[in-house]
Amino acid sequence: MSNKEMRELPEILRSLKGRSDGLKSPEPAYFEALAKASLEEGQRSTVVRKLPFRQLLAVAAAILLLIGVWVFSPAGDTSADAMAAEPLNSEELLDQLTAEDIDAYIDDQLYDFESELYAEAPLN
Amino acid sequence: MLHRHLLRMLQSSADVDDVLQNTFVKAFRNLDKFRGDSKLSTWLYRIATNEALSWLRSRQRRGQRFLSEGHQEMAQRQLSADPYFDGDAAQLELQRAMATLPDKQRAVFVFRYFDDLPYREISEITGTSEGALKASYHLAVKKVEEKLKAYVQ
Repeated sequence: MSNKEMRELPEILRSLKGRSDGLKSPEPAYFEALAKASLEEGQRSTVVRKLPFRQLLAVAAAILLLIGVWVFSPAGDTSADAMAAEPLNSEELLDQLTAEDIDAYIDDQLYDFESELYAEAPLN
Repeated sequence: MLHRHLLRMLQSSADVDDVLQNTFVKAFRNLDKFRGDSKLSTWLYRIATNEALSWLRSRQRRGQRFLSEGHQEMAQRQLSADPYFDGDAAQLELQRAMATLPDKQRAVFVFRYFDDLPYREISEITGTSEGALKASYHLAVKKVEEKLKAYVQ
């Protein structure tokens, strides 16, 4: 730390810096034991679990079978997929309804309609 | 030096035992990756600091037991009973004030205030720019000073 930086330190920290931090270092035996334990731990090889050859062969065959089924299965109806992927908006849906469908729906639901709401709703 | 550095960061010698061993194990296993671009001590400091920060993060995650007490109280309780601390009241107050710093900022404070490491070397260890380190250290000094003043009053 430069003299300038030392001068810029607040007085309380400058006075404490001149002293020890109150911490002690362990005895050499501590580090010897730690080094020994660390070496043992470091040399311990990582356990790698290996599958037996037959199981490995079975897994590989299953994966190949799945890939084969996926590749050679007939392609689905792409237009239907596209329709499923992109929902139609309400206008397009209404266009698909026939007048008969609408009449049939109104007949079925007639008693469930709120007549008061009809009365309040502006006519188009 | 590493033990002292970790003790300042973790403020518990029991934690230091584990982190220091992890540091040595990692250094041993990755010795072939040490290219010699930096000093060996810088490389070890880097591993130790990363290990300490990870340890502190995991301690905070699983440390629901510390919710009832703040960082300062925890530091005071741990250090008062620690066999590697024999400081006086003022030194304990300094450690308590350091405990309120965010972990990375405490690391920067420890490197600069106690170890007198140049910013260039701290930058190599922490992977942070020298400008950011200077700002971080300046803020840390202010915070520690305020805490110490509050304790004195």
